[in-house]
Amino acid sequence: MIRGSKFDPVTDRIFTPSELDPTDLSRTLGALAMGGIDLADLFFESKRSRTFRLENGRVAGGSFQIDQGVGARVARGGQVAFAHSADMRPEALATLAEAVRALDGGAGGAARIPLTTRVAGHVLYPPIDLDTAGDAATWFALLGTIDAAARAADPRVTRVSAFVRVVDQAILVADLDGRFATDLRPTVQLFLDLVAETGGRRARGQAGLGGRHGAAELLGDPLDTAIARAVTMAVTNLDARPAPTGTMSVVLGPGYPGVLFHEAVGHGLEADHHRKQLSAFDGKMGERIAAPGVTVVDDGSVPGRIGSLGVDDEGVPGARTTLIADGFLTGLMQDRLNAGLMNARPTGNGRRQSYAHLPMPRMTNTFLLAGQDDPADIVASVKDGLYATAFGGGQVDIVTGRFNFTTTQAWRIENGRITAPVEGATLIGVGHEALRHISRIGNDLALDEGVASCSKQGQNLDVGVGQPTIRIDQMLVGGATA
Amino acid sequence: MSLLTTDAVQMRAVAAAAVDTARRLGADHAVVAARAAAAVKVTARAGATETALRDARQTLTLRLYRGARMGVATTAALDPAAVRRAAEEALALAALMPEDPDALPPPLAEMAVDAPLPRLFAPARRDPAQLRELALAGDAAIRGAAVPAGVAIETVSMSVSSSESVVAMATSAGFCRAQDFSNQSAAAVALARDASGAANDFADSHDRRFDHLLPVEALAAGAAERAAQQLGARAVASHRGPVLLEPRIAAVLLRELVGALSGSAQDQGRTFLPRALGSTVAADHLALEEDPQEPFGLASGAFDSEGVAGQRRAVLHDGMALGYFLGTRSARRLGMASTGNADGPWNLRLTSSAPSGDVATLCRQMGQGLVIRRLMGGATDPVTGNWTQAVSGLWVEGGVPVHAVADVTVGGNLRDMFRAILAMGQDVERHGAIRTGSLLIDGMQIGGAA
Repeated sequence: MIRGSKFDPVTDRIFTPSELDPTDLSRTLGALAMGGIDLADLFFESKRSRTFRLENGRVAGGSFQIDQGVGARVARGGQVAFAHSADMRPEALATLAEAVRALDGGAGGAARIPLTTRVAGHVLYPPIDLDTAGDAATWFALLGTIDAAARAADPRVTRVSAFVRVVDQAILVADLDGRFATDLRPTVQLFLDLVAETGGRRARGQAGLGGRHGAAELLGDPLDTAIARAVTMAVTNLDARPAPTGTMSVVLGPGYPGVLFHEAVGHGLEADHHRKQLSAFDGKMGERIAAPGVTVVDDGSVPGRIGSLGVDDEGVPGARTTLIADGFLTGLMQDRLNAGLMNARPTGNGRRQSYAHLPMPRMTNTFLLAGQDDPADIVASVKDGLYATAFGGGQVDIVTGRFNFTTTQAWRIENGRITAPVEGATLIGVGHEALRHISRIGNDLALDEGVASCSKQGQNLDVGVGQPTIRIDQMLVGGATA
Repeated sequence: MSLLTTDAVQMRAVAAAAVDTARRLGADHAVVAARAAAAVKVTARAGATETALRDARQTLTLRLYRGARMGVATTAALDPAAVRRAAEEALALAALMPEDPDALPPPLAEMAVDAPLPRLFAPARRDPAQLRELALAGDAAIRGAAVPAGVAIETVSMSVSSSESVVAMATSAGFCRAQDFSNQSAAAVALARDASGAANDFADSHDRRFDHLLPVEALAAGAAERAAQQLGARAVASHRGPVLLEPRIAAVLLRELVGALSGSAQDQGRTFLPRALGSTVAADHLALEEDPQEPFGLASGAFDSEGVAGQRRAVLHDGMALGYFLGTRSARRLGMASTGNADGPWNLRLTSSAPSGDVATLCRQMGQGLVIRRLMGGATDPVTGNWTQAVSGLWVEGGVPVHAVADVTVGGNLRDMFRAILAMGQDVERHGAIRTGSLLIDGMQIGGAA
């Protein structure tokens, strides 16, 4: 039970400016507790963000943003009524509950739903807020050193853009069962985008860093590595030739290329798609869907990672769910709504972009576990193919399982050796087919650097992806040449 | 009934009050936008409502200057304390910015203080129960759609939504105007299954006037038919050849052209069409016209977010670029005047003087090639113009579609592609700001089966 006028800092940040106390939440939940409903919850959010942007050594922009509001939802079976309000004061909550009742069309209710169960805290990330995450002058100074370091690394670097995003999101969720949870989620991300030029040719290099932590974790080796990665990409791409077209063996490097598993596996294992029987993996639970050795997990409990969640947006602690175990389909990612309808347990994957969006089953950090192979041997095993280490994102059609993603750094493999770099190539395949063609799994598992994001039904979220080096024996590569 | 709990008068007052707050805190110039939006959306599938939503949002954006240094802050909370905090944050940021005189707001004389407000507001006056009826009718129409024997159709989602918004803008130079908008939409997403597997597709309609939306039954039939047509899709062999882009895809391509001709891309050199003005960037039968004042246009307005009016003009004529899409800063940096495009293009209409016809005519003209109906994902390099996409669609032989296509990529260079447009179809559709028919383009690289 939340008591008294002094709350924990997160609750205080949401309650105090709007003059709320726990009885307001109890009363609002009571109004939502209409006869026959299966689920009702309130999600409060107070989010502040700062961005800082540097272009060509000059401070080019900055912003500050306050976002706040509350979303109220009820569900009966699979039917959801939802309304939200930027105003979180007690009288606004009453209006909000009325709007939801009108959308639902139900009757009845309770005077109060007492908040009886507080979800335990966590140690996945520290409760850093925006005002302690470093001031603007410090960030701009850091961006300035990045610009200088990138130019010093290679004289062909002609343009450097660097961008920092610092966010703190305080959330409080309370539901029909009297459960409530709070969380303060820090996010720090740094993006680098540069152009190298020589002899009239221009090429782009990108890199980033991010996580749920403070500023200090970006500095030092991680930052130097990111700068080196962006410079190498741009300089390499200066010599890139048009990508080949056709079906070939593909070796994907460690880290971000694990977006393959996000697209080819993850989206198809979100429970809402299964409940509606829309997923290409529907009805395949327990079946072999991938080669032996392929084990894929979604893990919201990796300390400090950008996809990690102390609790999800429905108050369920972040956890590891094994999606594919040694090639067999074993698990789905659930939110409360779909878990309730499928007689399953929520898995800590109930996420929403903001208070103004409905929660859905979403990925957290999704990755392929390490295998036994030496990455160098994997490349050497390919006679004629493609080696890709960076991608610009990906998409999937969950109904057919067809996915695609586009390289931002890739090379030909000829006779087991990495040769010429190639321009952006689009790789396409069908999830369950591509999984069967995985023939080698490296011992070099890495998660991405913390700048991945995922869009589903128009809602954007930060996620983690990852994998060790892998070989896929057959994949269609589409480029601009034959 | 009205969705919004505020109006243009109130939002102008909110914006003007924020300008006063900023001035009292020491801002030399202030440009403030206040936006409020409210919506109702209902989705249905399998004979029942799936979601019923009430959406209400508001934001206040402050661009504040100390001399020629500018900082930006946004707040969803509109109480005086939150506005003051946002103004302080914007000014603190401004103090750290370099001087950028090009980014100063335009003088009042260049602002649209009396340009007419186009008609953009037509409230639907439908309550959630009425939207629910329509969504359920659309869902039933998808499930009851006429499809070939052996094909089963289900609804992925049928949605109907109605929104109203107001945007007010006030500046320390004395500009203070507001505009009301309404947005109505309906969308059908259908899933088709047969022995070969499953496929989905959609049809949607957007308008400022509810009565101008396509009927949900027509959207349902279109989505079901398209999904069924996509069953049994397979790759075609890799080759170089023509493609026919449906209007929705053609509009995506035209957005790349707009991006390449935008002031910031031109100024920063992040364009595959550097210094394009006066040069031929597209096939010589093409023209592109812009109209900011079209009544109920999806991209109409009296002024952009800098308070500058757009003009009715030709952007392309005989394939030659006649203008850029300029905001104040990029215009000054290029030694030009703003075209009122700080937020992107106003309504654009592509026209062609080449021989044309309906889609069937263009398929016959293509003879053998790929009709692109969906872009599944890919990448554009804005600097080189390198463009690759995973696509699905239909394979045409002898001038008629013979089977559905998936698992193929299409690649080319945008610089070449706009010049290689052979014809535009008479099947003109509006997708956001852009009106275009299907586009027939030659010489694309298709990646498919070995």
